[in-house]
Parts: sequence; structure tokens; C-alpha cells
Amino acid sequence: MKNKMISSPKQRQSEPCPSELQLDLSLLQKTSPHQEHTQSCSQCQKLVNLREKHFAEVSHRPDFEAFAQSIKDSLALSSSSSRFQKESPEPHFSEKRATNRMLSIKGWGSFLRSWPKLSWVAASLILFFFASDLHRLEFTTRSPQNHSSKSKRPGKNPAPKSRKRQVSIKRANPRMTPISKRNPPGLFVPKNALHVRLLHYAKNTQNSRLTSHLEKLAPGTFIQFDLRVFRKLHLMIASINQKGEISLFVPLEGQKSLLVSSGVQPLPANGSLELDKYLGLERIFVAVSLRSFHAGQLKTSMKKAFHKAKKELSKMSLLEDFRVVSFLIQKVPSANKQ
Amino acid sequence: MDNEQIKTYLRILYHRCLKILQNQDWAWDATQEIMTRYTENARRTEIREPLYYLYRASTNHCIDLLAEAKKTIPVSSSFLESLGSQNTRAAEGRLIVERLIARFGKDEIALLLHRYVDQMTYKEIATLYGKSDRGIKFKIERLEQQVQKFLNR
Repeated sequence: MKNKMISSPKQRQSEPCPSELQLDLSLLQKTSPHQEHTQSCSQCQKLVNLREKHFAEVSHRPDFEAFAQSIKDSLALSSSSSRFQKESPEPHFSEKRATNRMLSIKGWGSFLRSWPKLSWVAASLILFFFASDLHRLEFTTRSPQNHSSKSKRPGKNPAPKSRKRQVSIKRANPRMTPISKRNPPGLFVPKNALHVRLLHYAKNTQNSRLTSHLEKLAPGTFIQFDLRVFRKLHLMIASINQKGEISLFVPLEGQKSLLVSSGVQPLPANGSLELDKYLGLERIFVAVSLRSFHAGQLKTSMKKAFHKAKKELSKMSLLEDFRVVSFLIQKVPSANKQ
Repeated sequence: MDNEQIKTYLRILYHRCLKILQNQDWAWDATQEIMTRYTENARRTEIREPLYYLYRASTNHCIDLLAEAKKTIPVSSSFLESLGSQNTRAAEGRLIVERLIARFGKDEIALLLHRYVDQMTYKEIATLYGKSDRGIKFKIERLEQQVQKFLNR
């Protein structure tokens, strides 16, 4: 086998060789408890050399720095949002109120034990309520029979009863509702039927890169979707910007969804899409359905979600009628500068 | 997490993925994928042990990639010898991840990877999975016997 440097753990158990996890932990903590051993042990020396070789290899990758920066940005964004959640006092307040109101069963027991007379009163009250409830139950079960016997009697009008307001439930006639509203096109797609990655390729770079959340991209950057589909699906890709302008990506300026067979494939298949000159946030939706749909349906759904989220693109990651995967990108004059 | 720490995590991840996948481009792609997933999950929940999380995520992702490409699990020939297989070449051919998953399950293959590729101790694997080290030891030993039977049949 190619990988000869990997020995079996049974051989290593006799020596106190550190595992890779231990080496990684010491690297992260910036300590070196295994340094003496690794210098003396030939096997560990090999392993350390291999690690250093791989570390140098990845550090020299052209997109390494940029990717690390994008991860840092997105982590900073997530930490700020979680801080915001922690700072909001409402959930703590409501929990506190709930716990104050409620007494545990043990608490009630001890309270009643300290007040024996009160417990007698409470027990009698409970019994009284039970008895009244039973009476009510009997009355309600018998009432239809009584009503029918009364209605059969001739010449006797029953006393007018105080009528309760009846709330009429209007049920929509399924024949009258349009098919598109009856069965929203994307709802029956299983959640794991689709896996999408967004790749981008900036000018003057060697390789394409995976696009992370809120990645800063310059106009003119090429993008491509990497699809992993597990069943036949109808697909359409569209984006919406902060102004609410919608543009279709796949099929480019087409009106009907694209049928995608299962497997791994890039989209567009032969080439890539170039980002336009609009600057600001933009959310890209990959919408899928089991049956074909029109661009109009997707646009309507996107507009609805846009207005529901009060025109904030960061809050509209889902659409009501479609199964979607969405990406939020930020278009800046030149990438990673702002 | 500061920039230097992120870079260290990326290096660790790349090394680990490269060791399992044995292809530089695949390893870098996998590193990006796993790290992106990490940031997405960190937005939803607090991840207390990022290294452990990344270890498990990378193992699962790499197993998926190996299974998809119908590749073999990257264990050494000494591992096969320790299992008592006479014809190591024939045994190597049987270690295709896709078949192993079908036969033993994905979690078991992940255990094998941790034990024989990462050279982790039972205690470390137990910490990674949040289980007792005796339980993990028992599971791995039973798995070794099953793999041995599978290879020598």
C-alpha cells in the first residue's frame, strides 16, 4: 500500500507515542509536551515531518489566505449575532415569571401540611367541583334526547334559549382554488434530495473557491453551482437584490424550470455566470420541485418572502412554496477590501 | 477564533483530509467544505470543542468521498498483517469503502479510521464520541474480528 508511514496502533502502544490528536491539541494550545519524545523516536519524527510538509503545502496555496479571511469574517458575523441573542432580556424574564408562578407538587404538599384546616377546605372544594362537573356531564349527554322528545310534542313551543354565536368556518372549495395554490410545487421534495455548493472564480486568481456566507464578491466574478442531486428534479436559480429586483440565472432568461437528473453536475454545465455591476447584498435561490414550474411562480414566491422579511435579505432564507437552498453574497467594488 | 487559529485549524484539517483521501485537490476541497459547514453550524449552536467537531466532520466527509469514488480505506499493510490476512494484496482490494459501509455501516468505518489512520487511543476515541473507553474498545475489537472474517473469507 502507498501509505507506509502509518503503523498499526498495537506497535505504537508499547511506546508512549503521542497520537495526531494530541499533537494537534498541543499545536493549538501552543505547548510542546511531546517534543523530547518526537525528537528521539524515529517513527514520530517521520510523522512530524509529514505534518510539517503538509502544513507548508497548504499554506502556499494561492487561495489559503483569502479563505482563512472569509472564514474569520463569517465567524465574526455569527458571534455578533449570538451576542445579540444573549443580550436580549425577554426570554429570561418570561422564564422567571413562569417559575415564580408555578409551584412544584412537593411545594404544594409541604404547604398543605403546614395548614391542615386549609387542606380540608381545599379537598372539599375540589370534591364539590367534581360533583358539579359530573352533573353537567350527565346533562349534556341527555340533552339531545330531551330536545328530540320536546320537538315531537305538538303545540308546545320550547322556551327561547340564549343562542351562542356560532362562528361559521368558511372552507375553501378545492375546485375553485387554482392548482398552483392547492399543491405548492416544491413542498414534496425531500430535504436531502439536493446538495448545492456555490463556487466563484475571481479574475487574476488560479483556482475557483467555495463561496461562504456573506462572501464579498466583485462585479465580473464568475460563479458556478456544484449540484449533487439524488433524484430527478425541476430546478430554477434566481437572485434578488436589496431593491427587490429579481434576475433569473438558470435557465438564463428562460421561463420554465430545468429538469435535472440525479448525480453530480456543475451548473451552467459548460461555463460560468458573470456577476452584474449591482453593488450590495444579493440572495441567490436554488429552487427545486418535483414537477415543472414557471418563472412567474418563483418570482411571486420570492417577492412575497421579500415583503414578509421587510426587505431584509438576511432574513429571507426560505420560500413558502418551494424547497430552496439559498446563498447570501455581498457585492463590493473590489473583493475583500471593504 | 483569531486569524492565526483559523489557519492552524485549516492546516490540521488539510493534513487529516490528505492522509485519508491521498489527493491534494480533494483534500483542499474537503477542507473548504468542512470549514464552511463549521461556520454555518457555529452560527446556529455553540461548538465547545471545535477540534473534536472538525475531526468527526472531516472523517464523515472523507468517508463519503471515498465511497463515492469507490476507493479503498487508507490503512497500512501492517494493519492487514495484524488481522492475520495471508494475501495482503487481495485483502487490500476488499477494503473498498463503499462495500465496507454496506457490510458494516458508516459509523464503524469511522471508528476504524480513527483507530488505524489517526492512531488514536481508545480513550481519545471515547472522548470524541462521548462514550466510555471500555465500550469503544469492545466495539472496535468486535469490529476487528468481523473485518478479519470479511477479509479472509
